[in-house]
Amino acid sequence: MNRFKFNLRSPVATVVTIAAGGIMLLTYLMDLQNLQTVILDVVMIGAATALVIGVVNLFSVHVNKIRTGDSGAVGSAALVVALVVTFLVTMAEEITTFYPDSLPGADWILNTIQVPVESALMGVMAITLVYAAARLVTLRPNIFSVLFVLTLLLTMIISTQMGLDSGMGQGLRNFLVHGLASGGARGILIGVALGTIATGLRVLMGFDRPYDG
Amino acid sequence: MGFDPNDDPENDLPEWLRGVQPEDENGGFEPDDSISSDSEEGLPNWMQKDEQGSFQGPETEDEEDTPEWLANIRNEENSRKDQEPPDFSEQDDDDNLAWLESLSEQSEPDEEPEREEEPGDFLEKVQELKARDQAEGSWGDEEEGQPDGELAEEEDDEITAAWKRESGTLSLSEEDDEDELPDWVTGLTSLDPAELPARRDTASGDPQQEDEEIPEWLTDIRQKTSEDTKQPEEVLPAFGIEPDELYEAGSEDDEPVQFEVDEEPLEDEQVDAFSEETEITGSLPSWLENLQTNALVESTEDAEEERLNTAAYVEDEDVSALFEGDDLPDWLDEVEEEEPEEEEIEEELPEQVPALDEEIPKGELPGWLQEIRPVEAVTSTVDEAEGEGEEEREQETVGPLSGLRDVLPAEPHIIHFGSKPKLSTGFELTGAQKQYAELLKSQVKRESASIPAERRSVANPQLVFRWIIAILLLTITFSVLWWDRNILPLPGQDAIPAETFAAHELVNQVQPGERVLVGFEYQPGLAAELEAASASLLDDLLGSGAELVLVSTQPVGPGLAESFLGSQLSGWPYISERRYANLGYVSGGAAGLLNFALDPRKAKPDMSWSLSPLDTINNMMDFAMVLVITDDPDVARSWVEQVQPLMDVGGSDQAVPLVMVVSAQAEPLVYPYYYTTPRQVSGLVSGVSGGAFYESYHGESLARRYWDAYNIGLVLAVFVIAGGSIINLTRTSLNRTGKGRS
Amino acid sequence: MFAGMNSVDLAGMLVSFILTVFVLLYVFDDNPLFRMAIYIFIGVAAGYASAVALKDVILPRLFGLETQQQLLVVLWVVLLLMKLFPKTAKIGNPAAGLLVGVGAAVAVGGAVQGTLLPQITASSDFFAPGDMNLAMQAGQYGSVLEYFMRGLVVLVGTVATLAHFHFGAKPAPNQIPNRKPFIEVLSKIGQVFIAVTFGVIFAGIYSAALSALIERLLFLITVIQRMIPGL
Repeated sequence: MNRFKFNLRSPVATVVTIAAGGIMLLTYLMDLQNLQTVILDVVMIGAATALVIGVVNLFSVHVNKIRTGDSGAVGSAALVVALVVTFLVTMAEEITTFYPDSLPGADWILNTIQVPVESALMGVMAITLVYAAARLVTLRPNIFSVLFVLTLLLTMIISTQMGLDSGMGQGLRNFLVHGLASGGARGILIGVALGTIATGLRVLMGFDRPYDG
Repeated sequence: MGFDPNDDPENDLPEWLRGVQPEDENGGFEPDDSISSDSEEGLPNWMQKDEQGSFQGPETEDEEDTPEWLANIRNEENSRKDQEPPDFSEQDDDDNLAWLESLSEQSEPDEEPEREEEPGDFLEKVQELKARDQAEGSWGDEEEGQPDGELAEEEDDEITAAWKRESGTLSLSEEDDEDELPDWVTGLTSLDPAELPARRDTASGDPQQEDEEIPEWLTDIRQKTSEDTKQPEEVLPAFGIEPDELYEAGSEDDEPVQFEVDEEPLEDEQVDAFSEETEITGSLPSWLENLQTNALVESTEDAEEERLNTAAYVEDEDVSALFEGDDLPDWLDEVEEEEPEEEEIEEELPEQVPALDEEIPKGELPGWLQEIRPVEAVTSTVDEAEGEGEEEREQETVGPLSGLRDVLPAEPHIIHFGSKPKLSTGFELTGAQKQYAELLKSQVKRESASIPAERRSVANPQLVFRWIIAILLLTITFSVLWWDRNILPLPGQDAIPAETFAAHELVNQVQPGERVLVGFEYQPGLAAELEAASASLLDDLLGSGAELVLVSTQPVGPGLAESFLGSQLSGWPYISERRYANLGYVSGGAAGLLNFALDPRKAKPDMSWSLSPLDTINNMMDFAMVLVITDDPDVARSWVEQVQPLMDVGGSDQAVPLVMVVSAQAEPLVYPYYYTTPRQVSGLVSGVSGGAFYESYHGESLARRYWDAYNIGLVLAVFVIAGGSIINLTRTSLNRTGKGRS
Repeated sequence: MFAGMNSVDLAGMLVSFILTVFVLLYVFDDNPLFRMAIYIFIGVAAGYASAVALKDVILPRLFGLETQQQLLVVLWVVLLLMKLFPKTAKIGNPAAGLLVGVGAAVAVGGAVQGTLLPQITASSDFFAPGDMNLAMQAGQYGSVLEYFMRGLVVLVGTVATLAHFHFGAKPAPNQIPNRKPFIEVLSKIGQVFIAVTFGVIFAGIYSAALSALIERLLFLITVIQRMIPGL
């Protein structure tokens, strides 16, 4: 019985959630496109605002770290400076007309800092993945680990030029990637869809309230 | 702290001592259950009810459970009651009830009838005292007309009157008239610790009464005491214990006598002074002297044990040493001499106090009595001795006189039995229970505490192994890229996967001027792979004359799109002249994507929808193709779930194809959308290999630059993973074998 | 040395070079330079994302709406901002609730119409009956067997993987609830499929990471060759 016991801690928020979600679900069955777009318009702005709120929160956390002289205060200072400069440059370049083209703009910051760092991180991950895969069978010596590593090795082999061009490689690719892996992936997709539906319905029925807090 | 009422000395008495006690000693008195019970619960009920001294009436109990000291009290009261004038005993029940009600305001009302039903109880004695006080008139008139035969009672009243006068000097004169006094104050007055025991002393001092009840040897002791000892009322009587029971309690060394020590530790000289007094024991019979000596010896030998037993009550072992002395008179005299209260009383009562002094029999306490004499009496005496010459005196801590100095205690000590009860708000725990609790507490704390992640110390061979992998991969890949000789050819067109070929075909079906929506849905970290995979396709698309409309649900997507087009496809005038439309960022994830798919114009109101290439776009069906470049299978799923149904409104024949360029990591989870009928994803290009396949059809581009290093990196990884797994497995199995042999 | 490059491009190239080296040094061990690069990266990413959200969504949408809608949206945004502060966080619950409710409904509707129904419908096409029929008529029995086997593998893989995520068990008194034996066997088969699928995904992740590494190494080579033209 407790499963169906409603918690009325945030009745307004719950009502809003159920109403908005219910209307949105109805739009899949009925032609309520105007109402649907009105709600979605508001949601789009809200989502962008939520992103900004998150950044503001990050900013305040690191400013506090600088104030308190925490151990990572230097890093926090670098983060705050980078955040503020990037924000100001991007906004000035976009909104104002006085920002000179000769100065580095938002694209320059993106391509000079964000893309190289993130790509280099992925590069580091390549080395880490190889190391982890080489240690996997030793750390978890069971049939599934062996199967996992064998599949990994075969997939990498058939992804090379020789594997792609050879008939055996193509057959193996069809069986492994488009057969076994496709079957497992389809099961995972259906499972994810079922989980999404269950979770969404729990939210829409008021059993789960992630917005409460 | 203080005297432990749970100790029932009678149960531990030897048979011969029980015989010493008269059989009728307990007769006529009901035992006090509230005192003798609850030994396991720490404090008795009456103490738990009210700390301020409101006590409950006695309850009926078996005689065996009655503490002997209490029985003595009752016995004495009973005997004294017989001697008291009838006018004092004729207190009507109504007054008693009213007084009791006022005295124990917080007591439970259902206990009051029990008090009335037990006329022999000591409470009734208290009532009688109050009635007598009332009969004597207001306290201000106490000095007038006291009968000669009631000197003891008069003495109590004198002290009470002195206290009253002292109170009056301390701005409490408005209570001079008894009529103005609240009942509880009068009750407390009657319960003055100097009062009740003094009456008992008077009663016990009656030789005739004594002879009837007490053996001859004890009578001798008492006679000697009455002759030699000048005993102040507020010291010995404050404890309210008869010598008989004191003797019995004192003979029981294994019964810890617990006293409260609130004062400063005693000086050694004072302790020695008391110890010297212990030698004066000549008045005792020889057998009793032996007994006393044994007790002293035992107490000396078991000093440590005794201190442990009384550790909860006695805070300083120097004080416990006080009780080894067996001679009372000196310290009693000291009290009398050094207590300014007495002097003040004498000054204010010049006529009566000398007479009282004469009447009070002087006594000498035997050693067994000194061992259990009230701590507060001793300590207060010692403190006064220490504080000789000092002006500060004991400060009242309870009642209406709280905070005042030089006043008699408002709270009768009889209620405390020598100590002020400290009420515990928590459980009374034994040592073992505390130990268990601490253990449990530490375990729970350990469980709840977040264990800091230990920096895993990588074994040296593994660290070297990781470095070898890094150096191999970096140097070989770097060398191949530096060499840049196009070692390996692109995969052949015959081997192109069906999904990639379908994408190629769909791109080539796009007619010039048709709008193609391109979603740039990847992160900067995977830009290299997706740019390599899609560069040739986009080039093919631009070659077919398609007009591009860019959009992204990632904040960095529009910037990455501009960067990609500007760097890789800037050769096309369409790109360099920026004739494409970049709609920018669409927030809200799947919901934002649905909003955009439902009404692109409303979703991006700031765009120039009247200009090419947006002028013909009203919904998703107006695009010739939708191309999504993504590294995230969830984003791909969102496009399939939210946008693709809106591209298939008119049936599969008129459906807008959805083509995807995905990262190799997303391919297994996107491929099922291609492998459906009808296809949800019409064409699929995955990873660098997919881009290489596409380039084999369309022409070399970015994937070609990566192709050699990509293949070398894959092969190297295969060797490292296979070799590392074999080496690690071998090493592990060898270690296990070695361990098994050892 | 850096002919044809303006100062901004040159500075950008050098900064990228330094940051790339800092991050790649992490391969050998953690170091302060790596951490500093990560701090800067996070700051740039956050600042860029917030600026894009503001300039691409919030400001255009807010000014593109009618007055009543603007007021509604402003009120909602203010309510959302309340979530920033613990004391007023509860006031923002309805605004967050709207976001969550719409998101949940969109996810449910999309999952049903975009994944669940099409994928279940596609299950009937696992054996590709049309293609099999054509192959039978053409006498290509090998192709028929291939279609059949492939369909069987995908069907078994789908069902077995779903069975692995089935956690229903019949409770028994004084015993640990166990799944039915049939489900247990299917679950084990599903584990095999999942292991294979994850192996393929892992290979894909490595391929993607390798591509990123190659791109960075290419960039480093480009910079080095520009710095030292003779190389």
